[in-house]
Amino acid sequence: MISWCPDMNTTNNVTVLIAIGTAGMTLLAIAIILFVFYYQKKMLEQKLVRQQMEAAYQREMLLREMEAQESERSRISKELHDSVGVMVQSILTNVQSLGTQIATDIVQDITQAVHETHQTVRDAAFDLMPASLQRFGLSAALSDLIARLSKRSTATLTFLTSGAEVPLSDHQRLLLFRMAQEALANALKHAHATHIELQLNYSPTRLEMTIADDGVGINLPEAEKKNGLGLFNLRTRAQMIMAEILFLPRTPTGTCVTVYLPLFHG
Amino acid sequence: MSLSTFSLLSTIQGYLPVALFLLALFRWKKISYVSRVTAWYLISCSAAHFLVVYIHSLKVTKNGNNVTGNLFTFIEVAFLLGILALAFNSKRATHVIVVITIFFWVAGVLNIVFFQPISTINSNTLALGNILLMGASIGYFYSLLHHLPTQNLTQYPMFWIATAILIYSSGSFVTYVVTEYLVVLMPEEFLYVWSFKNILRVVYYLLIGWGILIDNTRNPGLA
Repeated sequence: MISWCPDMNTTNNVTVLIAIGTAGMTLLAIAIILFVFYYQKKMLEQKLVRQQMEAAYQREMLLREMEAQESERSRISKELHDSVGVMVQSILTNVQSLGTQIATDIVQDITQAVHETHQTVRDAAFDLMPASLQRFGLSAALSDLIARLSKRSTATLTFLTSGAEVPLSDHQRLLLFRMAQEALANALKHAHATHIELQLNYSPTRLEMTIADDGVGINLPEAEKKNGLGLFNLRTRAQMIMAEILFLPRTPTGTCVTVYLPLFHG
Repeated sequence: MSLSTFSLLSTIQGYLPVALFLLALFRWKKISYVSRVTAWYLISCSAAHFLVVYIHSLKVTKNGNNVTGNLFTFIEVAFLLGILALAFNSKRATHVIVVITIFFWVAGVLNIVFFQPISTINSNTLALGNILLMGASIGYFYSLLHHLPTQNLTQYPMFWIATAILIYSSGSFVTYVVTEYLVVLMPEEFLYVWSFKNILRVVYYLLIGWGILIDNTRNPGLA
């Protein structure tokens, strides 16, 4: 009995030690796995925050860049309208008065050329920054844009508006106008459309701007590669005013670009 | 621990990998390449298990089953390191794992030649294999934290496979370290300790099986 007991104790001790060692190692492994699990979650959260901060920073930079661009456009437009436009207008008046004294073909040609130059300067000033946008609002500026494009191109352009016009911020007005300008330019230049319809629908909760054409249609992935900057600009501008933009095909042919701008009151 | 319980655990160890292989076979088109290799590993485990049982039943040599088990250790560690190398998906990690595998084989052979003959349980080789597998799986977890390949780790098959490897390697490590001591001085206690290792082995297979079950890499739409 005396000789048996120490052996039994030793056996038990060794077994307990092995059990503790094994359990300890297993628990350590489980602890490592749990650490990985929770740390991964934490890192994902950090990554998300970093990505959001990067996106916000990029959006801010883009906004500043576009603001600078718009301010420069506005300055050039004003310069063209107020200085060059006025000078061309005065040349035109002089040439026209000269035409009443010397009626020759040359004077007529000069009058025509100066008249065209004056129109080009006015169009350029409008494209850069339409005065009607700030004075009369988005509908008036878009109507003006359609009228000018109709004169310049062979396509039939129509402008429709419905609902009571809701006051928009300068930023929203300008960006919506730029989006319409870009979409119309795409329809004329790339889609070779013959009929284009620009529609502006105001409702109490949102503004819907639709540019529908009967052109060759749009292959989005290909268009992103070819005309990447145009579509990118459209999307960026939409993002900047928290609007949603959709590019949908039309039957039988054509594209429908729709911008949804939620309107927040108060 | 009765001999019948020990035998039951052993039988489960033999058949469970076959069941998991069939599960993988059933989902073969949906699972990733790593899961397919893991499925082949499982069937090799089962084949080795039944070979050990068969050789033991022949009773040609006293410890013939140990020889098969020892040789399979070389294959098993290489298989598991290979699975982790595939999961790492990096050339550098693959090179490191190839070097580690060669080192393990050399160490295993030296152990057979100088310390533990092939007819005995090569516990030193097994313990070394466990250390290497623990290191490789921890390295894999580090790479998971570094690359963040998924939003939800619990839905990532390789996370469960690496978890199984880490838990089994660390849990059975102490057992392998004391195997020689137990076999010589406490043969009756050896059965208990070895049974715990067998329970861990069943858990290990179940975790791998779960990894294969949630793997929908090739058909994410059905996830």
